[in-house]
Amino acid sequence: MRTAKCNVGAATDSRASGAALPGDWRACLFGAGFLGLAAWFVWGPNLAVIPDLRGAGATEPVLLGSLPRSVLAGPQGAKVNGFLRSCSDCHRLFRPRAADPAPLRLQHQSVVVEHGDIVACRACHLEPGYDLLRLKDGTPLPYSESLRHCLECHEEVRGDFEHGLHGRADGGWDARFGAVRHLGCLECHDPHVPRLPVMDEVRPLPGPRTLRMGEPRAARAEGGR
Amino acid sequence: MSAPSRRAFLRGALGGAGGLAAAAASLAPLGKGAATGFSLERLLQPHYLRMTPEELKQVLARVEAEVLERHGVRAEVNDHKALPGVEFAFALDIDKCVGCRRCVHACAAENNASRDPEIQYIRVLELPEGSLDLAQGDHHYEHERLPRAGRYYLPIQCQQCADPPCVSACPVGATWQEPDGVVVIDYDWCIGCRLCMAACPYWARRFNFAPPAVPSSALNARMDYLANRPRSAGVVEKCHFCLHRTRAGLQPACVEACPNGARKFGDVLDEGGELAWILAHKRVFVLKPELGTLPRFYYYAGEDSARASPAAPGPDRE
Repeated sequence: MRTAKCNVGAATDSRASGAALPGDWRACLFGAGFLGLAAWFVWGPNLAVIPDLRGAGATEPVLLGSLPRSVLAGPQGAKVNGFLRSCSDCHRLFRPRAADPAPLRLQHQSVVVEHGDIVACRACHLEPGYDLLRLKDGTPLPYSESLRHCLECHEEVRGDFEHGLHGRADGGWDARFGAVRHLGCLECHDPHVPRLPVMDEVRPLPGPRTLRMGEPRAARAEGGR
Repeated sequence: MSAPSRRAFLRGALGGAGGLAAAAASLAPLGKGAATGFSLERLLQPHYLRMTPEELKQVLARVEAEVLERHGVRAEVNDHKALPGVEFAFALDIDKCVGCRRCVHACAAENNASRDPEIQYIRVLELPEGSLDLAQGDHHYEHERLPRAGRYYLPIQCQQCADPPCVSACPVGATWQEPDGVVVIDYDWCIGCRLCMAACPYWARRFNFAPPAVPSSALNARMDYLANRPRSAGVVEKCHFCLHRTRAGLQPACVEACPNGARKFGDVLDEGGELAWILAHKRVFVLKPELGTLPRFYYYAGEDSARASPAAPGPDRE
């Protein structure tokens, strides 16, 4: 009965009154361990560095010769200490600072923003929980509807996208032969760096060695022509 | 009297024997069957367009047997007919194409094109920006990274012209235009004269100078008679809009392989379709329009739909 914290442990050990002291210590250790575990559950995610999310939701290369899609196609959240955490798990404790973007000392250091003149996180992510996106007027929007969010600014793409022109599609050439799936924005573009690094830095497959198109440059040089 | 007559007799006998040997030698390939690509049935089969359904079935079975003998692959040789009320067309956004050649290799794999010597239906030209002078194009660009600054990439394949000069050039009617606009070749009817190649202004046709070599392990077993069944030496082939796929509803192999979505394929008669939208809203061009070949392969550039789409009625309209 020395501290309120050890009450429970003391009660269980009360019949061995002669050895009360060692039992109390054990109970105290147990209690401290429990509190430590609870603290770890609450604070743990903030102490572990959240892994780089790029590529977390990347889909497999769909077809022969196609490039793997890049970023953030999967559900939002990050696996930290073996648990899937949502954004608000941390951000309900850690409120963003007034300065946005705040200097990133521990978390999100991998995030590079090169998206026009957007630099602030809150320009797209809804405060305070960050579990949602926001439209320009502050309307919350789930990440699954990012298309609406993107088209708010990128009006020039809307016509093309709605008619299936912007970006590739999987499936047949017409809907009557089965579902045609048009890839969403985030399946090709990293919203933080939308300039398509994957595609812009593509290596070409080998060039032709056909009769019709003449010999490759190297072969021509060897032949002295 | 006897000497000249003996000489004449010997000359005649030798000539006769030589003629018989030559005739036997020329007919010898017929006996060897599929190994050489020649067979009596193939020699005597009617033109594709004049085949009865029964004859067609026999021919498809023969081709399947030939594939089995040549490659040990149990192929499925179909004969997809043109879909009624459909006219295929192709559109390619040269702004999105980065020249990665994935379409080229996907096409060769899909269509069982010869790997050695190499035959490719699609060629990709690297051109200086702002130029459509195809003579400046480079087929053999090799860069670490694509695209190169100041260059753009122009893939060219069969344009499936509405008025195809190659069809008029063929002396035997081995190539013709189907109702869905695809210009096809009956590889068994082609005599290999290559007049169609001379007539094509787009360099779209390829000739099998040597027996085409396709590794049996890489053989695409889903075939069509007019599409990607194995060819033999001495015949012309070309892009056929993957009709074995597209007539079954699939996209052509090059469209599927394009990582950027630069290639669009569809029915140009479908008013709500992608092709109709492109033709209505994009600045579309075709190659060599002055020749009057009316290509069904359209090129366009850029994302200017905001400018081109019908604007919402603003205050100064109405």
